[in-house]
Amino acid sequence: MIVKATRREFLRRASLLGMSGTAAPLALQMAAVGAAAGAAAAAPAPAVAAGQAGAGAPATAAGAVPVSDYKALVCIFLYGGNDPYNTIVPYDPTRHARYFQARADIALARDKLAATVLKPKDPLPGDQAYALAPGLAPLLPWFERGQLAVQFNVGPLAQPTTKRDYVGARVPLPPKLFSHNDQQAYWQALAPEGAASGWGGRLADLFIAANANATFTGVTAGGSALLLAGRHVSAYRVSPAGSTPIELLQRDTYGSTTCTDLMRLLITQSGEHLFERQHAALVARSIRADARLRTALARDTVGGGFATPLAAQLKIVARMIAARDTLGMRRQVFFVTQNGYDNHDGLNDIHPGLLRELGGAMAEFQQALDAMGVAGQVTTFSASEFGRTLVSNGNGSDHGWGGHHLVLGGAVRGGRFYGKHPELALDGPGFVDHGRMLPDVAVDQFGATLATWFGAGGGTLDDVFPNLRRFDGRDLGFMQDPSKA
Amino acid sequence: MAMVVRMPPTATAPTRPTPGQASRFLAQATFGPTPAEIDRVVALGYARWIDEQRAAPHSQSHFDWLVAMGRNVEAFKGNGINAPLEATLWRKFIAAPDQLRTRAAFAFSEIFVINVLSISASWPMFGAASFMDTLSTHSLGNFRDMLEGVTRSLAMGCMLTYRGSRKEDIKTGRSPDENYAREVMQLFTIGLYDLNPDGSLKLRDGKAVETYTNDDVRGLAKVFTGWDLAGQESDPECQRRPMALNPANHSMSEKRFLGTVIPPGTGGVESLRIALDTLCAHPNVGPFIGTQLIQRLVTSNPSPAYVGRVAAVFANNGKGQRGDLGAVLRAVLLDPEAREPDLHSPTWGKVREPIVRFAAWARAFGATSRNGQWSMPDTTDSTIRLGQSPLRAPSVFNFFRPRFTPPNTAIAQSGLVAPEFQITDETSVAGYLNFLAIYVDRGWEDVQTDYAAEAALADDTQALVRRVALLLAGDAFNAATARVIADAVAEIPAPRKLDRVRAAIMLVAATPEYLVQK
Repeated sequence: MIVKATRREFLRRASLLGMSGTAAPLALQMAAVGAAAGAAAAAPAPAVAAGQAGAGAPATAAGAVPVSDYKALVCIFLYGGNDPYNTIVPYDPTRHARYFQARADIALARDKLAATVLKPKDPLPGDQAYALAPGLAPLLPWFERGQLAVQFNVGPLAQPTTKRDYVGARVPLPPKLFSHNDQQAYWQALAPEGAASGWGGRLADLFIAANANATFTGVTAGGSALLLAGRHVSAYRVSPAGSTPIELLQRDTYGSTTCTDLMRLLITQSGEHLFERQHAALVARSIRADARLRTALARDTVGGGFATPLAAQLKIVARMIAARDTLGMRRQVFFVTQNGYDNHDGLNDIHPGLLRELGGAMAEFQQALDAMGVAGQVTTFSASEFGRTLVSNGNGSDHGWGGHHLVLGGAVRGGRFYGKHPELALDGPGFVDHGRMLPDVAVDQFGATLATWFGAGGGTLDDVFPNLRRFDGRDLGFMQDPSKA
Repeated sequence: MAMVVRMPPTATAPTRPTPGQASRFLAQATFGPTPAEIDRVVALGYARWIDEQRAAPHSQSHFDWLVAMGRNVEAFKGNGINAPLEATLWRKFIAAPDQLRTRAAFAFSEIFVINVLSISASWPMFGAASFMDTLSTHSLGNFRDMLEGVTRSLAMGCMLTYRGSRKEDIKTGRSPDENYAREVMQLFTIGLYDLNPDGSLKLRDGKAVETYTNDDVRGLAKVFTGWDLAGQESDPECQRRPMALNPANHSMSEKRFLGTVIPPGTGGVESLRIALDTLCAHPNVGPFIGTQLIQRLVTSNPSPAYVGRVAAVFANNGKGQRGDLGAVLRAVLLDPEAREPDLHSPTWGKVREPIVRFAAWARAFGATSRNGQWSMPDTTDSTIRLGQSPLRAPSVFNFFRPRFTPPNTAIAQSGLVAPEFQITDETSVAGYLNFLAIYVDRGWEDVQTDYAAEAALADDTQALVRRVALLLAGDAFNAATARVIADAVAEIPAPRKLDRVRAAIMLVAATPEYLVQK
């Protein structure tokens, strides 16, 4: 039977379980116990949060970009493949007629769009006009205020590709173009096939040394996020309520503090098995992060309803942004998600509701950022694995390719359209394979524009976007040039 | 699939498994060992236990149980309240005697994925139940029958939106819904790239070869036109009836896909037969499905040789039959790599699925429904539940992908995959422990145990923890860890036997070495 006086010795012996030459040294093990058991004022975590607890490589100086201000990118990933033509809807009579003809079963009537017509600061060529889907009405004021931009027809490309290139199989293409999971991975990775990092993580890697709490550099409130995986940055998962404490560690185990201490030790250490080590590392990170985040978020100053699932994710993002100084953060990339866009069926039963949730949540989020005074320091953008077919299958659309996306924030050169909307002709140069929009702009260029604003420049952009050099134009122009502000 | 160190098969398997080995076998072949089932495996040996399970009668179906419990009432007609679905699913996971069939059906539900919330017709709960019944009916049967049952099910017709799909219309430009055509190839039969029988990519000029193009998808999409709910939605039976064909909506033009040409004028039933035959005959199916069955039950990174042995049985069960799933599962479970792994390997095994962890606790410690209700919750929440719930995956891509690897980790750098890590993060690891703390302490609603066998050992905490470790992890739990846990549990005063039992179970079930199944 263990006597309390020998508890320290007991824990020392326990911590030697499963040790090998490659496991973390004892001191770090005990430190993990101490730090977790201690209050939030524990010793600061090392400046790097690698995938493995305690044993991570130190942050390299290579590529590190010094910054003194705060910026954040927020990616809203629309899972399933968002239908672009019912999101940014052709409105001028000629184009609306063509849109209607192409997909009569699922087209939105023109008179329903009058209230959300977009009037850009730079008129589009040829009398083109577009309207936001009615569900996105809350975003109309942001467009008018010049803080919302629309990027037409962006999608995954290996290099600039014409219809002739595609039909003749004359150029390499991103692999498995119409497959959900492959395209979700491609949008987030923008790296050669098999690469296991995301451009958001590679971007955030450049700034991680500027963050006092490296763990919170890349944060997902919306599930697993390849986008946020870098060499040093690992996605940290929060729930809409914030971090999740482990109840068993907050109290004794049926009266036994030794059991609780042993629990803490066992769940954060392991032997040599790679899966065990990764699990233990996650638990250790969870405990450390919870201790820090709990205090930092306690002074909750973000008001507002944020009632929908997407809004709830954006609310925790807003709360974390509000806590940026407490946490010592300078650069963060956030990832939130909305499910349900794979509308092969019932497009007009389901899609309007999804867009209502999207528009409402983005507007509420931007209002909260305004209230915090950081509107110009946070840029939010939508993403989706692909657009959908222009043609209908009766009551829905199928997997497409290019899609239109939104960029929102005080630093956005908004109230404008960027890129080109192709002519709505199935046989025309803008569409392949019976209604799939051939992207005009690559996701790499879209991301690079955001990354430049974030602070990456010159050569580092090519590290973050290895394929960027194949494209003309690494800045699509939708972010304000601070020198001209 | 990444190459891993090949586990040399030993010359002879032991003729009588030890309890520890039997426990590890049952973790692969069932929802978790019970003391009685361990004894049975020790007595029969693995092969005869499997044969006994293959011959076992089918336990009461989910659909029939729901009807017997009076759930075929108005309250469950819509898609709001589906709680009885959880009840019947967990009921069978935990207590069905035909465990191999039930466990295999669950594994198939992570390949042929439906979500109850996607079922658009009335009585969705019954549709999901009926779908799991279909998987159970065929999980030890034939793959071709399985695929047909899945394809004709209303649940899948809703999930992948081909229910009500109509033929092409040249005038309006409408094309048939492509969803099922794409996913039946990508996820249910052949995958994205040509495979060798051992699961490796079959390369041409050093490059992977795509199995299908958009043209194949569009051609196959015509096959799945014209199918819809059979009869009326007046009672739950509508969810059990296979979809019926409305010939007026079926495309009668030529249908071309995967080198098969269905001539114009071929009706829906015949077109479907040809399409399913074509898909099942593709050489990819054995390694594609075989690898996933190994991953769901045994190990995330099987050697190519292991996959090859399983795929060979898929191709021919020894009696000239292709697609014999009973034989395939037998091959998966009896393979030397599954039976005699190196328990000290740093890479062999898999993270236990949270759903299986809960069911395994119930089975190991005799938890059962006290009143027959089986009032289990939706366990999707990752802050205080399991982060997954049966038949509630977020999409047809299941809770996790077969080739997922956690980025920026030694696992990824070693070229390994670890699918279950896709739902393992800083929130969910805490959520599991939070749920564990609840159910080990007091069960869940009517699902209860009195821990009688364990309480009887509580005076000797070393024996107690050894028993707990045996039931949860077989012979793969480190004896030194068990001793340290027992020492700590002994701090709880001896008269509080149940508290000692609870502490022992929580500690074992929380350790990484338990969480990784070997």
